[in-house]
Amino acid sequence: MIRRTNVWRDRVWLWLLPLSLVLFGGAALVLHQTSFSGRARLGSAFLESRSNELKQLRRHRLDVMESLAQIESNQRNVAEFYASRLATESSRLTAVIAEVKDLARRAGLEPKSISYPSQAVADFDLSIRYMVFSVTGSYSQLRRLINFLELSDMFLVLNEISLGGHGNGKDLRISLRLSTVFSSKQLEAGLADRMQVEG
Amino acid sequence: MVRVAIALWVLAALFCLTSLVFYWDYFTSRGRNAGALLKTEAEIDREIGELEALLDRLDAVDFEFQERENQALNQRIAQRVFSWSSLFDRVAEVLPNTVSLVRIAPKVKVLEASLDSGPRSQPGSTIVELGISGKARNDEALLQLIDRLFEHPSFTRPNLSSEKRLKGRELGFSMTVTFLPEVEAYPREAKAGDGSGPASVTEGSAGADRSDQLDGEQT
Repeated sequence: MIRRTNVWRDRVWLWLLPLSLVLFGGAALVLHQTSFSGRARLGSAFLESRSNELKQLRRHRLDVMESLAQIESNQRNVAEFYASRLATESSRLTAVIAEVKDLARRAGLEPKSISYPSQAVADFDLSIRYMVFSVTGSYSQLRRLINFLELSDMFLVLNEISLGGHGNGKDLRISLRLSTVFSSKQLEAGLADRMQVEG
Repeated sequence: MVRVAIALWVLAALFCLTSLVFYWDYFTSRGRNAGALLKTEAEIDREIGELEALLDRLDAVDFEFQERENQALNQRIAQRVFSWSSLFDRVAEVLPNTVSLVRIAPKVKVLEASLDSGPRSQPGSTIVELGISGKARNDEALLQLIDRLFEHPSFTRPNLSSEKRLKGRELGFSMTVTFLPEVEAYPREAKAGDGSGPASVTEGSAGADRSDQLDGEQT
Protein backbone atom coordinates (compact mmCIF):
# COMPACT_ATOMS: atom_id res chain seq x y z
CA MET A 1 0.00 0.00 0.00
CA ILE A 2 2.82 2.32 0.99
CA ARG A 3 4.63 1.32 -2.15
CA ARG A 4 1.68 2.09 -4.38
CA THR A 5 1.28 5.56 -2.85
CA ASN A 6 4.92 6.22 -3.42
CA VAL A 7 4.58 5.35 -7.08
CA TRP A 8 1.86 8.02 -7.57
CA ARG A 9 3.96 10.49 -5.65
CA ASP A 10 7.18 9.67 -7.46
CA ARG A 11 5.68 9.93 -10.88
CA VAL A 12 3.46 12.94 -10.46
CA TRP A 13 4.10 14.20 -14.00
CA LEU A 14 2.67 11.02 -15.34
CA TRP A 15 -0.85 11.75 -14.12
CA LEU A 16 -0.88 15.38 -13.01
CA LEU A 17 0.03 16.78 -16.39
CA PRO A 18 -2.67 14.89 -18.35
CA LEU A 19 -5.16 15.61 -15.61
CA SER A 20 -4.39 19.30 -15.91
CA LEU A 21 -4.72 19.09 -19.64
CA VAL A 22 -8.07 17.32 -19.28
CA LEU A 23 -9.30 20.01 -16.91
CA PHE A 24 -8.00 22.77 -19.18
CA GLY A 25 -9.49 21.17 -22.28
CA GLY A 26 -12.79 20.62 -20.50
CA ALA A 27 -12.89 24.21 -19.31
CA ALA A 28 -12.06 25.43 -22.81
CA LEU A 29 -14.86 23.33 -24.26
CA VAL A 30 -17.34 24.57 -21.68
CA LEU A 31 -16.28 28.15 -22.37
CA HIS A 32 -16.64 27.59 -26.11
CA GLN A 33 -20.08 26.10 -25.75
CA THR A 34 -21.37 28.73 -23.35
CA SER A 35 -19.89 31.86 -24.84
CA PHE A 36 -17.98 31.60 -28.10
CA SER A 37 -20.36 29.32 -29.91
CA GLY A 38 -23.27 31.65 -29.03
CA ARG A 39 -21.31 34.61 -30.28
CA ALA A 40 -20.50 32.80 -33.51
CA ARG A 41 -24.18 31.95 -33.99
CA LEU A 42 -25.14 35.55 -33.37
CA GLY A 43 -22.50 36.73 -35.83
CA SER A 44 -23.73 34.31 -38.50
CA ALA A 45 -27.33 35.28 -37.88
CA PHE A 46 -26.45 38.97 -38.15
CA LEU A 47 -24.56 38.35 -41.37
CA GLU A 48 -27.49 36.40 -42.72
CA SER A 49 -29.97 39.13 -41.81
CA ARG A 50 -27.77 41.77 -43.49
CA SER A 51 -27.46 39.52 -46.54
CA ASN A 52 -31.23 39.20 -46.68
CA GLU A 53 -31.55 42.95 -46.34
CA LEU A 54 -29.12 43.33 -49.23
CA LYS A 55 -31.18 40.91 -51.33
CA GLN A 56 -34.34 42.89 -50.58
CA LEU A 57 -32.62 46.14 -51.50
CA ARG A 58 -31.44 44.59 -54.79
CA ARG A 59 -34.94 43.34 -55.55
CA HIS A 60 -36.39 46.75 -54.74
CA ARG A 61 -33.75 48.46 -56.93
CA LEU A 62 -34.54 46.10 -59.82
CA ASP A 63 -38.27 46.79 -59.41
CA VAL A 64 -37.66 50.54 -59.44
CA MET A 65 -35.37 50.18 -62.47
CA GLU A 66 -38.06 48.17 -64.26
CA SER A 67 -40.67 50.81 -63.45
CA LEU A 68 -38.36 53.56 -64.71
CA ALA A 69 -37.66 51.59 -67.88
CA GLN A 70 -41.41 51.21 -68.46
CA ILE A 71 -41.98 54.91 -67.84
CA GLU A 72 -39.18 55.85 -70.23
CA SER A 73 -40.45 53.44 -72.87
CA ASN A 74 -43.92 54.93 -72.46
CA GLN A 75 -42.54 58.47 -72.76
CA ARG A 76 -40.62 57.46 -75.87
CA ASN A 77 -43.73 55.94 -77.43
CA VAL A 78 -45.76 59.04 -76.61
CA ALA A 79 -43.04 61.28 -78.06
CA GLU A 80 -42.88 59.17 -81.22
CA PHE A 81 -46.65 59.22 -81.49
CA TYR A 82 -46.72 63.01 -81.22
CA ALA A 83 -43.92 63.34 -83.74
CA SER A 84 -45.26 60.88 -86.28
CA ARG A 85 -49.03 61.36 -85.98
CA LEU A 86 -49.81 64.67 -84.33
CA ALA A 87 -47.35 67.06 -85.90
CA THR A 88 -47.98 70.80 -85.79
CA GLU A 89 -50.61 72.59 -87.85
CA SER A 90 -47.93 74.36 -89.86
CA SER A 91 -46.46 71.08 -91.03
CA ARG A 92 -49.64 69.08 -91.54
CA LEU A 93 -52.78 71.20 -91.95
CA THR A 94 -52.62 71.72 -95.71
CA ALA A 95 -51.77 68.06 -96.28
CA VAL A 96 -54.78 66.99 -94.18
CA ILE A 97 -57.16 69.31 -96.04
CA ALA A 98 -55.81 68.14 -99.40
CA GLU A 99 -56.13 64.51 -98.30
CA VAL A 100 -59.78 64.93 -97.24
CA LYS A 101 -60.70 66.65 -100.51
CA ASP A 102 -58.84 64.04 -102.51
CA LEU A 103 -60.53 61.15 -100.71
CA ALA A 104 -63.97 62.74 -101.19
CA ARG A 105 -63.26 63.24 -104.88
CA ARG A 106 -62.04 59.65 -105.27
CA ALA A 107 -65.25 58.46 -103.61
CA GLY A 108 -67.24 60.51 -106.12
CA LEU A 109 -68.32 63.17 -103.64
CA GLU A 110 -67.69 66.88 -104.04
CA PRO A 111 -67.90 69.07 -100.95
CA LYS A 112 -69.30 72.47 -101.93
CA SER A 113 -68.25 74.19 -98.73
CA ILE A 114 -66.16 73.17 -95.75
CA SER A 115 -65.89 74.86 -92.38
CA TYR A 116 -62.89 74.38 -90.11
CA PRO A 117 -63.74 75.11 -86.47
CA SER A 118 -60.97 74.37 -84.00
CA GLN A 119 -60.83 73.59 -80.32
CA ALA A 120 -57.89 73.69 -77.93
CA VAL A 121 -57.11 70.86 -75.53
CA ALA A 122 -55.41 73.03 -72.93
CA ASP A 123 -54.09 70.28 -70.70
CA PHE A 124 -51.86 68.74 -73.34
CA ASP A 125 -51.10 71.66 -75.68
CA LEU A 126 -53.10 70.01 -78.41
CA SER A 127 -55.65 71.47 -80.77
CA ILE A 128 -58.43 69.68 -82.57
CA ARG A 129 -59.29 70.92 -86.04
CA TYR A 130 -62.70 69.91 -87.36
CA MET A 131 -63.72 69.71 -90.99
CA VAL A 132 -67.46 69.98 -91.41
CA PHE A 133 -69.01 69.62 -94.83
CA SER A 134 -72.03 68.32 -96.69
CA VAL A 135 -72.07 66.34 -99.88
CA THR A 136 -74.73 64.78 -102.05
CA GLY A 137 -74.24 61.20 -103.10
CA SER A 138 -75.28 57.60 -102.80
CA TYR A 139 -74.90 55.27 -99.85
CA SER A 140 -72.19 53.31 -101.67
CA GLN A 141 -70.23 56.52 -102.25
CA LEU A 142 -70.51 57.31 -98.55
CA ARG A 143 -69.24 53.82 -97.66
CA ARG A 144 -66.38 54.27 -100.10
CA LEU A 145 -65.41 57.58 -98.51
CA ILE A 146 -65.57 56.01 -95.05
CA ASN A 147 -63.36 53.19 -96.26
CA PHE A 148 -60.84 55.65 -97.71
CA LEU A 149 -60.81 57.63 -94.45
CA GLU A 150 -60.21 54.46 -92.44
CA LEU A 151 -57.26 53.55 -94.66
CA SER A 152 -55.73 57.02 -94.70
CA ASP A 153 -52.31 57.53 -93.12
CA MET A 154 -53.40 60.90 -91.76
CA PHE A 155 -54.75 60.92 -88.22
CA LEU A 156 -58.31 61.53 -89.38
CA VAL A 157 -61.28 60.83 -87.15
CA LEU A 158 -64.83 60.70 -88.48
CA ASN A 159 -66.86 62.16 -85.65
CA GLU A 160 -70.36 62.34 -86.96
CA ILE A 161 -72.52 61.54 -89.97
CA SER A 162 -75.93 62.99 -90.67
CA LEU A 163 -78.04 61.66 -93.49
CA GLY A 164 -80.93 63.32 -95.20
CA GLY A 165 -83.01 62.83 -98.32
CA HIS A 166 -82.20 64.77 -101.44
CA GLY A 167 -84.68 66.35 -103.80
CA ASN A 168 -84.22 63.72 -106.50
CA GLY A 169 -85.26 60.98 -104.06
CA LYS A 170 -82.33 58.80 -105.09
CA ASP A 171 -79.30 60.42 -103.52
CA LEU A 172 -78.63 61.28 -99.91
CA ARG A 173 -77.58 64.54 -98.41
CA ILE A 174 -74.64 63.55 -96.26
CA SER A 175 -73.18 65.81 -93.60
CA LEU A 176 -69.81 64.77 -92.23
CA ARG A 177 -67.81 66.00 -89.31
CA LEU A 178 -64.17 64.97 -89.41
CA SER A 179 -61.37 65.97 -87.10
CA THR A 180 -57.67 65.68 -86.64
CA VAL A 181 -55.38 66.57 -83.75
CA PHE A 182 -52.32 68.83 -83.90
CA SER A 183 -49.64 69.32 -81.32
CA SER A 184 -48.41 72.81 -80.51
CA LYS A 185 -44.89 73.94 -81.45
CA GLN A 186 -43.98 74.34 -77.81
CA LEU A 187 -45.00 70.78 -77.09
CA GLU A 188 -43.11 69.50 -80.09
CA ALA A 189 -39.91 71.22 -78.94
CA GLY A 190 -40.32 69.71 -75.47
CA LEU A 191 -40.87 66.28 -76.94
CA ALA A 192 -37.83 66.58 -79.17
CA ASP A 193 -35.78 67.41 -76.08
CA ARG A 194 -37.31 64.47 -74.27
CA MET A 195 -36.45 62.10 -77.11
CA GLN A 196 -32.94 63.52 -77.39
CA VAL A 197 -32.26 63.07 -73.68
CA GLU A 198 -33.62 59.54 -73.69
CA GLY A 199 -32.00 58.61 -76.97
CA MET B 1 -1.40 3.42 -12.28
CA VAL B 2 -0.12 3.10 -15.81
CA ARG B 3 -3.60 2.37 -17.08
CA VAL B 4 -5.01 5.44 -15.36
CA ALA B 5 -2.20 7.56 -16.73
CA ILE B 6 -2.80 6.29 -20.25
CA ALA B 7 -6.50 6.96 -19.93
CA LEU B 8 -5.79 10.48 -18.68
CA TRP B 9 -3.40 11.18 -21.56
CA VAL B 10 -5.90 9.92 -24.09
CA LEU B 11 -8.65 12.01 -22.50
CA ALA B 12 -6.38 15.06 -22.37
CA ALA B 13 -5.42 14.63 -26.02
CA LEU B 14 -9.05 14.26 -26.97
CA PHE B 15 -10.16 17.35 -25.03
CA CYS B 16 -7.28 19.47 -26.28
CA LEU B 17 -7.77 18.42 -29.88
CA THR B 18 -11.51 19.03 -29.73
CA SER B 19 -10.95 22.45 -28.16
CA LEU B 20 -8.34 23.23 -30.76
CA VAL B 21 -10.73 22.32 -33.61
CA PHE B 22 -13.61 24.27 -32.06
CA TYR B 23 -11.54 27.38 -31.42
CA TRP B 24 -9.85 27.14 -34.81
CA ASP B 25 -13.25 26.94 -36.41
CA TYR B 26 -14.55 29.82 -34.30
CA PHE B 27 -11.67 32.18 -35.08
CA THR B 28 -11.47 31.35 -38.78
CA SER B 29 -15.25 31.64 -39.24
CA ARG B 30 -15.20 34.88 -37.26
CA GLY B 31 -12.62 36.25 -39.64
CA ARG B 32 -14.64 35.04 -42.61
CA ASN B 33 -17.86 36.48 -41.22
CA ALA B 34 -16.20 39.79 -40.46
CA GLY B 35 -14.91 39.99 -44.03
CA ALA B 36 -18.28 38.99 -45.47
CA LEU B 37 -20.05 41.45 -43.18
CA LEU B 38 -17.79 44.28 -44.27
CA LYS B 39 -18.43 43.41 -47.92
CA THR B 40 -22.19 43.13 -47.30
CA GLU B 41 -22.29 46.47 -45.48
CA ALA B 42 -20.41 48.11 -48.33
CA GLU B 43 -22.84 46.62 -50.85
CA ILE B 44 -25.82 47.70 -48.76
CA ASP B 45 -24.47 51.26 -48.70
CA ARG B 46 -23.97 51.16 -52.47
CA GLU B 47 -27.46 49.70 -53.05
CA ILE B 48 -29.02 52.36 -50.82
CA GLY B 49 -27.17 55.07 -52.75
CA GLU B 50 -28.29 53.71 -56.11
CA LEU B 51 -31.82 53.14 -54.86
CA GLU B 52 -32.08 56.71 -53.56
CA ALA B 53 -30.90 58.03 -56.91
CA LEU B 54 -33.49 55.90 -58.72
CA LEU B 55 -36.24 56.91 -56.31
CA ASP B 56 -35.34 60.57 -56.88
CA ARG B 57 -35.81 59.98 -60.61
CA LEU B 58 -39.09 58.21 -59.92
CA ASP B 59 -40.27 61.08 -57.70
CA ALA B 60 -39.57 63.50 -60.53
CA VAL B 61 -42.07 61.70 -62.78
CA ASP B 62 -45.50 63.32 -62.89
CA PHE B 63 -47.55 60.13 -62.88
CA GLU B 64 -50.87 61.92 -62.71
CA PHE B 65 -50.11 63.94 -65.83
CA GLN B 66 -48.76 60.91 -67.66
CA GLU B 67 -51.82 58.89 -66.77
CA ARG B 68 -54.14 61.63 -68.02
CA GLU B 69 -52.04 62.09 -71.15
CA ASN B 70 -52.07 58.35 -71.87
CA GLN B 71 -55.81 58.17 -71.35
CA ALA B 72 -56.38 61.14 -73.65
CA LEU B 73 -54.13 59.69 -76.35
CA ASN B 74 -55.71 56.25 -76.02
CA GLN B 75 -59.10 57.88 -76.52
CA ARG B 76 -57.81 59.62 -79.67
CA ILE B 77 -56.33 56.39 -80.98
CA ALA B 78 -59.54 54.52 -80.21
CA GLN B 79 -61.48 57.19 -82.13
CA ARG B 80 -59.05 56.87 -85.04
CA VAL B 81 -59.20 53.08 -85.26
CA PHE B 82 -62.96 52.96 -84.71
CA SER B 83 -64.45 51.26 -87.75
CA TRP B 84 -67.47 53.06 -89.17
CA SER B 85 -67.78 50.29 -91.75
CA SER B 86 -68.27 47.76 -88.98
CA LEU B 87 -70.76 50.08 -87.25
CA PHE B 88 -72.77 50.46 -90.46
CA ASP B 89 -72.82 46.68 -90.93
CA ARG B 90 -74.07 46.12 -87.38
CA VAL B 91 -76.64 48.92 -87.56
CA ALA B 92 -77.92 47.41 -90.79
CA GLU B 93 -78.50 44.16 -88.91
CA VAL B 94 -80.86 45.78 -86.41
CA LEU B 95 -82.56 48.46 -88.46
CA PRO B 96 -86.09 47.51 -89.55
CA ASN B 97 -87.19 48.49 -93.07
CA THR B 98 -89.59 50.95 -91.58
CA VAL B 99 -86.98 52.99 -89.73
CA SER B 100 -84.48 55.43 -91.22
CA LEU B 101 -81.57 57.11 -89.51
CA VAL B 102 -80.79 60.77 -89.97
CA ARG B 103 -77.87 61.17 -87.62
CA ILE B 104 -75.22 58.96 -86.04
CA ALA B 105 -72.66 60.41 -83.64
CA PRO B 106 -70.36 57.96 -81.90
CA LYS B 107 -68.45 58.81 -78.74
CA VAL B 108 -65.59 56.35 -78.44
CA LYS B 109 -64.39 55.41 -74.96
CA VAL B 110 -61.62 53.16 -73.72
CA LEU B 111 -62.80 51.39 -70.58
CA GLU B 112 -60.74 51.92 -67.46
CA ALA B 113 -60.01 49.07 -65.06
CA SER B 114 -61.90 50.82 -62.29
CA LEU B 115 -65.07 51.32 -64.30
CA ASP B 116 -67.92 48.92 -64.10
CA SER B 117 -67.53 47.60 -67.59
CA GLY B 118 -70.43 45.21 -67.61
CA PRO B 119 -70.53 41.55 -68.53
CA ARG B 120 -69.82 41.94 -72.26
CA SER B 121 -66.86 44.32 -72.17
CA GLN B 122 -63.54 44.12 -70.39
CA PRO B 123 -61.36 46.95 -68.98
CA GLY B 124 -59.14 48.26 -71.75
CA SER B 125 -61.66 47.43 -74.46
CA THR B 126 -63.41 50.07 -76.52
CA ILE B 127 -67.06 50.94 -76.18
CA VAL B 128 -68.93 53.47 -78.25
CA GLU B 129 -71.79 55.60 -77.03
CA LEU B 130 -73.91 56.15 -80.12
CA GLY B 131 -76.20 59.12 -80.41
CA ILE B 132 -78.84 58.23 -82.98
CA SER B 133 -81.64 60.30 -84.47
CA GLY B 134 -84.06 58.89 -86.97
CA LYS B 135 -87.57 58.47 -88.24
CA ALA B 136 -89.89 55.52 -87.76
CA ARG B 137 -92.93 54.86 -89.91
CA ASN B 138 -95.03 54.11 -86.81
CA ASP B 139 -94.77 53.24 -83.10
CA GLU B 140 -94.36 49.52 -83.78
CA ALA B 141 -91.32 50.17 -86.01
CA LEU B 142 -89.60 52.18 -83.30
CA LEU B 143 -90.32 49.52 -80.66
CA GLN B 144 -89.05 46.83 -83.03
CA LEU B 145 -85.78 48.77 -83.40
CA ILE B 146 -85.40 48.99 -79.62
CA ASP B 147 -86.14 45.26 -79.22
CA ARG B 148 -83.53 44.41 -81.83
CA LEU B 149 -80.97 46.62 -80.15
CA PHE B 150 -81.64 44.78 -76.88
CA GLU B 151 -81.25 41.42 -78.59
CA HIS B 152 -78.14 42.16 -80.64
CA PRO B 153 -74.85 41.15 -78.94
CA SER B 154 -73.03 44.22 -80.29
CA PHE B 155 -75.43 46.68 -78.68
CA THR B 156 -76.37 47.28 -75.11
CA ARG B 157 -78.38 49.77 -73.04
CA PRO B 158 -80.54 51.34 -75.74
CA ASN B 159 -82.03 54.46 -74.24
CA LEU B 160 -84.84 56.24 -76.05
CA SER B 161 -84.47 59.86 -75.05
CA SER B 162 -87.30 61.46 -77.04
CA GLU B 163 -89.90 60.90 -79.72
CA LYS B 164 -92.09 63.31 -81.61
CA ARG B 165 -95.09 62.73 -83.84
CA LEU B 166 -94.43 63.97 -87.38
CA LYS B 167 -96.86 63.47 -90.28
CA GLY B 168 -99.61 60.88 -89.75
CA ARG B 169 -98.24 57.97 -87.76
CA GLU B 170 -94.60 58.82 -88.51
CA LEU B 171 -92.34 59.40 -85.51
CA GLY B 172 -89.10 61.29 -85.15
CA PHE B 173 -86.91 59.96 -82.36
CA SER B 174 -83.53 60.28 -80.76
CA MET B 175 -81.80 57.70 -78.61
CA THR B 176 -78.47 56.61 -77.28
CA VAL B 177 -77.14 53.09 -77.36
CA THR B 178 -73.82 51.54 -76.39
CA PHE B 179 -72.07 49.83 -79.28
CA LEU B 180 -69.48 47.14 -78.46
CA PRO B 181 -67.24 46.97 -81.53
CA GLU B 182 -65.19 44.08 -80.17
CA VAL B 183 -68.21 41.79 -79.71
CA GLU B 184 -68.92 39.45 -82.59
CA ALA B 185 -72.03 40.12 -84.62
CA TYR B 186 -74.82 37.59 -85.13
CA PRO B 187 -73.64 34.29 -86.55
CA ARG B 188 -74.61 34.12 -90.23
CA GLU B 189 -77.02 31.17 -89.66
CA ALA B 190 -78.98 33.14 -87.10
CA LYS B 191 -79.70 35.86 -89.60
CA ALA B 192 -80.82 33.53 -92.37
CA GLY B 193 -84.24 32.53 -91.06
CA ASP B 194 -85.24 35.99 -89.88
CA GLY B 195 -88.22 36.88 -92.00
CA SER B 196 -88.33 40.52 -91.07
CA GLY B 197 -84.77 40.87 -92.36
CA PRO B 198 -82.47 43.71 -91.44
CA ALA B 199 -82.52 46.71 -93.67
CA SER B 200 -79.75 48.67 -95.25
CA VAL B 201 -78.94 51.86 -93.42
CA THR B 202 -80.03 53.83 -96.43
CA GLU B 203 -83.35 52.15 -96.86
CA GLY B 204 -85.95 54.59 -95.81
CA SER B 205 -83.47 57.38 -95.67
CA ALA B 206 -84.89 59.05 -98.71
CA GLY B 207 -87.14 61.89 -97.79
CA ALA B 208 -85.58 62.29 -94.37
CA ASP B 209 -84.59 65.79 -93.48
CA ARG B 210 -81.05 66.69 -92.65
CA SER B 211 -80.52 66.77 -88.95
CA ASP B 212 -79.62 70.15 -87.61
CA GLN B 213 -77.73 68.55 -84.72
CA LEU B 214 -74.27 68.98 -86.21
CA ASP B 215 -72.78 70.15 -82.97
CA GLY B 216 -72.46 66.58 -81.75
CA GLU B 217 -70.99 65.63 -78.45
CA GLN B 218 -67.72 64.23 -79.71
CA THR B 219 -64.72 66.42 -79.19
